[in-house]
Amino acid sequence: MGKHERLTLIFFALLLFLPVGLSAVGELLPAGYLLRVVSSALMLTSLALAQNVLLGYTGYPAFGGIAFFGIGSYTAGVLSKNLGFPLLLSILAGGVLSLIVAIAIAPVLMRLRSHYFAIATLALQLALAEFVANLEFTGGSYGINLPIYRGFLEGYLFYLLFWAVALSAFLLNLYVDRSVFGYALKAIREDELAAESVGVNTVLFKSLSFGLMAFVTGLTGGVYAFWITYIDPSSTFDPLLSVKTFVALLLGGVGTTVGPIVGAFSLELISEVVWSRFLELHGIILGALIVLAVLFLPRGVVGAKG
Amino acid sequence: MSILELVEIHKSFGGNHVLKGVSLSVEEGEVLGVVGPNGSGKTTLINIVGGLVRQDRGDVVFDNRKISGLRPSERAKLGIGRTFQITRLFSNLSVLENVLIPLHYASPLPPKREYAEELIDLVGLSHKIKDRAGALSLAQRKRLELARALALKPRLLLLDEVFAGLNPVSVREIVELLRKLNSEKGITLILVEHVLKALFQLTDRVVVLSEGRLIFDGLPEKMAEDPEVIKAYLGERYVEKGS
Repeated sequence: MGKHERLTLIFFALLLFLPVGLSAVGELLPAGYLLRVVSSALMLTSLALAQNVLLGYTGYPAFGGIAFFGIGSYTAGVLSKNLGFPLLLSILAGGVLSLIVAIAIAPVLMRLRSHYFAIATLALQLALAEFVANLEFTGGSYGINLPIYRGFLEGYLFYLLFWAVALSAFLLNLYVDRSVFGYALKAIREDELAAESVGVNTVLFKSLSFGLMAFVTGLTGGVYAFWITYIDPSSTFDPLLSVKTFVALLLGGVGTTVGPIVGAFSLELISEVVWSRFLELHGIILGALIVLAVLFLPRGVVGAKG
Repeated sequence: MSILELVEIHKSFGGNHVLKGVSLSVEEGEVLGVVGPNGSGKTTLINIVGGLVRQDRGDVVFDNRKISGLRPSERAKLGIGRTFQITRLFSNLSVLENVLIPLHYASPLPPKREYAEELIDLVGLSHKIKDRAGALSLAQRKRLELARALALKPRLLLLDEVFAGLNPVSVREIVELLRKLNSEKGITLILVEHVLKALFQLTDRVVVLSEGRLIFDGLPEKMAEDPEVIKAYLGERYVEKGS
């Protein structure tokens, strides 16, 4: 394991104790606010790491990967609200359904490449948003109010869940980066025809990669639904969330294990600061920062160092 | 025993009828040269054997088994290896990783690093083993493609213009290497080639494709005398003059 990766694991270990530390400092810091910012950062981390498996290692940009965030959050919402499923089971079901949908559509969808693939996934995301908005049991465009969770750990549970999903996503990236399974994905990224001609079943491995991206994204969506307690089509199938995921990934470094985490945390913290300091101008400032990052760090913060 | 049998292969791309009923039989251990003018269907023929292109009609039989419906990756596992006219390496991976991938995914052998190193040594790239494949020169890229194909432990190796763009020294070295693979490991070779001089050092049987048809099948030295071949390369006029 590289130095950066060991540091990342230490970072995750420290984050686990963040709520304890915050309660020890007591009134000095607005603990709830800080915890919410880090939760958002962890959520974006999971989304970026999920996309990294597909874009970074397999070379397929699922720009509409957030479709599975929507599927995950709606599965969690419908199961818990309408059918009384427990929280963790609802979230897990969201991940599993995302995985199943992804594997089912991948063989067709992944005949397309690069821009075409990106646009096709975005179309899927927008179409699903319309679909959900027109269904009865999903609450149509009004969405779903989820029950407020009052059990074990209360609000801290969601912080821990985001933390756990992000850590799992990081371990998944480590595995893909090092394993024989990852070799198949990288071979597809480098040259799909050549991969096929040396024995890699490209349809199978592309589908698996797409499925893993969808699974992690779906889990993240499920945690989000319970955390925010209200979901509707425009917030869960949000194209801006797709943009944010890609910016975080590109900022940090595509195809690296640590990059997506660096990207997600810096983007979340920067946008938080910019937003609170320059309410009127934050869009422009954030945009300028992104342009500068792309100009001067085209391979991302982590990628640039090699 | 024939290792590869092509039966009445037809293939069109849109309105372009590229192969018009090509039948061909290749014996195990043979070295077969496939030549013909540009656009005569040579690469398409290789792609049909490798599985990257599916024929419209006809059958591909490998080792007495119809493989027409198999994916390229499944054919690779059966022992059909190939190189590409324009090299297709995994550019951002190392030389070693390029050879390890087929060892993991298609070779019947346990994927041993030592074997990968042995193959890289065989093609003379030991000093580059940790380099990015994309950083190699053309000749080195061609060698690496060869090593990568050999990692499948192939019984049949399809080589699409392996000599194109190489200097005479490299050509000679690769001719030696191929000769060794054929005689020592018994690998059947099919070479699509324009560099006839190199080809003739390796093979004792050449087929000529022209406009999607096989117009010649025989000894290399007879090829240049064949009126059909002269017609295909030089035009009708030269046939009349010669005869």
